[in-house]
Parts: sequence; C-alpha cells; structure tokens
Amino acid sequence: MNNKKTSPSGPALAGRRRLLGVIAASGAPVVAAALPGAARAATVADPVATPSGPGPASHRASGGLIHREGWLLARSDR
Amino acid sequence: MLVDSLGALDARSRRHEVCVIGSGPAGATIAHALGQAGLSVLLLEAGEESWNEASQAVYEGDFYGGPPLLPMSVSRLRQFGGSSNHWGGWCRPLDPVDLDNKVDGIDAAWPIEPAELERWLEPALRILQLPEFPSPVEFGDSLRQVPFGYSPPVNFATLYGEDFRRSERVDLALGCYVTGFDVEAGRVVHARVRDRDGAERLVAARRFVLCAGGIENSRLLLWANRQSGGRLVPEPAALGRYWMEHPHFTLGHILLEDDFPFEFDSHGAVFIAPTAATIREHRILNCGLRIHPAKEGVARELVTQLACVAPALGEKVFRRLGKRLVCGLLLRASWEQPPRAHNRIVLSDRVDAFGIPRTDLHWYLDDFDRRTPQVAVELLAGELAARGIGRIRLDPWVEGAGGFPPDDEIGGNHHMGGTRMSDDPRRGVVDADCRVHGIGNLYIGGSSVFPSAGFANPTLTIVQLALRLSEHLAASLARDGEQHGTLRIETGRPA
Repeated sequence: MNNKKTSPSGPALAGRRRLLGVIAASGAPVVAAALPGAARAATVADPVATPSGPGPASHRASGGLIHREGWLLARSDR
Repeated sequence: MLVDSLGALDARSRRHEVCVIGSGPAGATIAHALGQAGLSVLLLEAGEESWNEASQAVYEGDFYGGPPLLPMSVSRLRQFGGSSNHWGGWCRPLDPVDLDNKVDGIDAAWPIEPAELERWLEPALRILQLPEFPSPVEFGDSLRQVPFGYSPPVNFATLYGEDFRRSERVDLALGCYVTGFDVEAGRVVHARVRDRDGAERLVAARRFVLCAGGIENSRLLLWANRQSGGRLVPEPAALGRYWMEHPHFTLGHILLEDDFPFEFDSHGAVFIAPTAATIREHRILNCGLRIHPAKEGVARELVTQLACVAPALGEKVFRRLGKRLVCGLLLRASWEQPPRAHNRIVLSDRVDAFGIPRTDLHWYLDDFDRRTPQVAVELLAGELAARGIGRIRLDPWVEGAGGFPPDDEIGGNHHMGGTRMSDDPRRGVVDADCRVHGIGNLYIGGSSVFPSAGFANPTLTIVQLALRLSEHLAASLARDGEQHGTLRIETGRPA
C-alpha cells in the first residue's frame, strides 16, 4: 500500500481518511498495515529504540466490571 | 524596532547578544524577556506580519503512518506570532509524574526536576492571562478531577508586537528564513538567513536560540546539520526522533442513572485523570478523560441499547429521561503517547520554494496508545458504577475492534519532541539547559525539547521553559562579562 501523503488538500485528505477507514474496517491492525518498510527498518536499526511495553491483553484495570456489548456494567446490574 | 531588512542592520554594524529564530510563544517570550533584561536581541521571523499563501506553502510536507493528522500546512502558522495566531487557549501544567519514567522500557524522564518548571508557573500564567490553577480533587482512590485553564487566548504578535516596535533592545526582522548555521570550534558563528529580498546574509550573535516550532526545529537542524557535514549536531542519534502528539479520540458515552457530581467548566467540560499512583500501579501513561454533555437524542438511543443488556437499569434511566434530566454524556480523551524513536521527522526528497527539503513526518499509534485510555476508562467506569452514577458504553475501537477511527479528531495539533532534552547525547539533542549537545552557544526553545508530553496542552509548558531558558541565557552572558539588567517578566497586561 502506498500511504504517502502529498499535497494534502481537503478532498485528498478526505480520500485518505476513507482509505484508512477501509483498512480499519477490514480488521487489519492499522499500524502494521500502514508502517512502511523504511520506517520499520529505522525502528530495528535505531540504537536508542525502546521496547513496546506491555501489550493490550493486560489492560484490564477493574475486576468488578462486566463487559457486555460495549457496556461496562457492574456485576449486580440486571 | 522593526527592521525592514537585515541589510539595514549590516549598515549599523550591530552585533546582537542573542539571535532568536521564530516568533511564536517560545521565541517571542524569550526575546521579550531578554530585551527587558537589557540584552540586545535580534528576533527573526520567517513569515510576515500576517498570513500569506506563499509563506504558508513552505510548511507543506508528507505524512506517513496513520491515522492521518491534519496537514502540516494547516496545523501550524508561518507568520509573526507563529501558531499562537490560531491557538485555542487551553492550558494545564504538566503533572510532576509526567517528568518521570512510569513504565519500564519507555524513556519518558526529563533531566530536570518538577520544581524547575513550577518556579516559572506563576509568571507564565500572567503572560497567558490565566488565573491560578486550583488543586485537583480526588475522585475515588485512583482518579482525580483536574482543572483546565483557558487563555483569552493570547496571541503573541498582539501581546508583544508594539513592545518590539518601540524597543531599543529588540530588533524584529520579518520575512527572514534561517537556512543554516556556520560552525567553528564547536560554536555557531553565523546563522545563514534568506532575507525577504532574496539575499543570503550572515547574522552573528553570541547566543542563538532556535524556536521555529515542534516540526521546524527538527527540520532546520536536520538540514543545517547535513550542510555543516555533521558539525552542527555532533551527536545526531535522537535528532528528529521521539516526535509526539497527544492522541485525541472519542471513547464512548456515559449514561447517567443519577445526577452527575461534577460541574462543567466554562468550556462545558469536566476532566478526569488517573492519579500518579494509579499511573505507576497500572503501568500506563497520563490520560485526560474529557466529559461533555452529549447531543440531544443520544441518551434515548443509549437507553434502548442498555435495556437489551440490563433491563432493570435501563428502566431506571428511562424514568430519569422522562423527567427531562441530563442522562447522556460524551466521553473523549487525550493522552500521553510513549516517545518512540520511529515516530520521527526526516528530510523529504521534495524541496520548498527556497530549495530546502520539506518534512516527511512518520507518526504511528501502537498497542500502548490503546492501553492507556483503556485502563483509564475502566477505572472511571468502575467509580461511576460503584457510586451509582452511571455506566459507560465504549466505542468498538477501544476494546480492540479495528484500528483507531480515522475520522475522529486524532491529534491536538500539539507537535512535540524531535529535539528532546536528555543528559545523554545518544538519547537527546539538547541538555537540561536546552543547549545543543556539543555546541557551546546554540539553544532550542519550544515543545520540540519535551522528552515526554503528559496529556496537558503544551503552550503553558512552552512558556515556562522559555522563561527558564531566558534566565539561563542572561546568566550565561553575564558569566561571559556581558553587562545587562535583571531578568524581569513583563506581560503587557494592566496590573
């Protein structure tokens, strides 16, 4: 994918946003899809690059909530 | 005074003590403070008195990554006063925890103590015409309500323009584009300046301060360093890197089952943030949850959805809705992005009208950028539910369904990093005094020196750092034997 953005006029920007919307809707991780090879190489080669830290699986902060269809509900909610 | 061209200055054979490059919040603050202290200052602004298309076109660049930020020729202004000409005025100081490392592997620490910034808070508030900030109010064990301040907003061209015109100490030159620096024995001896008449002129000064903006500082240094054969930035590992924005996205909505316990501020917002202890415990970065009244009709739609998963609760909220009480709130957030080396500014193959390479901006969001708001919003949801105030419904992306929404606000137009501050030249471009590592008299002002960015809008911190740098410059010139007065902060505002 060529994600380079040139002469970012209003219509062009809208077009790019639609394009990225399609990528997002496809379920592909935007970062992986959009990261050009040069940038990935720069990350690997960079002597001062930092690791990514903990991933999303560990994000749960509050054990007292139930996730249901997008809602964060209390266990007692009926 | 306002000088028509640098040629006129040549004729006067005047050598300035400090040359400040850029007249936005950082550059204007430094020039004004040093002029008040009795130092002779040359303030160079690449743009003109007001916006014009040709000048603005120099800011066009290419964006790589996603989701897309506003075009660089739109999100910033190349004119006298810089981007303060379209600044919204939202302010908040950084929290002390913002200057620390919070998460293993994420290099967010500043090489200065919070007290170094706090010293300059009160004068910065006066310049930005802000009252004192009330202290945050705890909301449960893990969160706090944090106040924002709203500058009128101050436009730095308006604030200091007349002072500069009348000043015998500050010379303001518009239409002067710095395109390089001559370096000898570890010091800048000249700035190379393209005057508005097209001529290249050499400007000498004892100190040079680059305040061209959160993207231009990196771009100009990258270009000038290339031109100097690497002598301008002898340790370039971090140059252009660790560039940051504050991601701005809608997280979802709050449906109230009881009265909202907070009063909305003058901009119709309430801000909630994790405490320092919460940030450390959950290994996240700082995050501002911003709550506004939702649009009409949203609450009714949310009640319908809630009734499907929790009918009794849905009925309770529906009764409240029937009494025409406020039920729906919009939940947005802006948060601290981990400084990443691959988020960076590089020189483009394309050039501007003066032959200087344009900017390629590489900016990506990663899993950590999702994790911080995920944790913060769950903590808020837990507190709202435990107190019987309401429930949160998240937008799908927050829970990991798809990428970040490309049609949201995305960023705050807060351009930070690229010439970050660090004691270690391999990890930063400037030292704790904002002096370029390895160069004796070149300094950088503005948000490009931020090693990390909290979630607070950056202008207040920019002004605090500008005042701190002004004091350092005055002191360092005094050590060199220059005569000058005491640093005084004049705001131009009636007492």
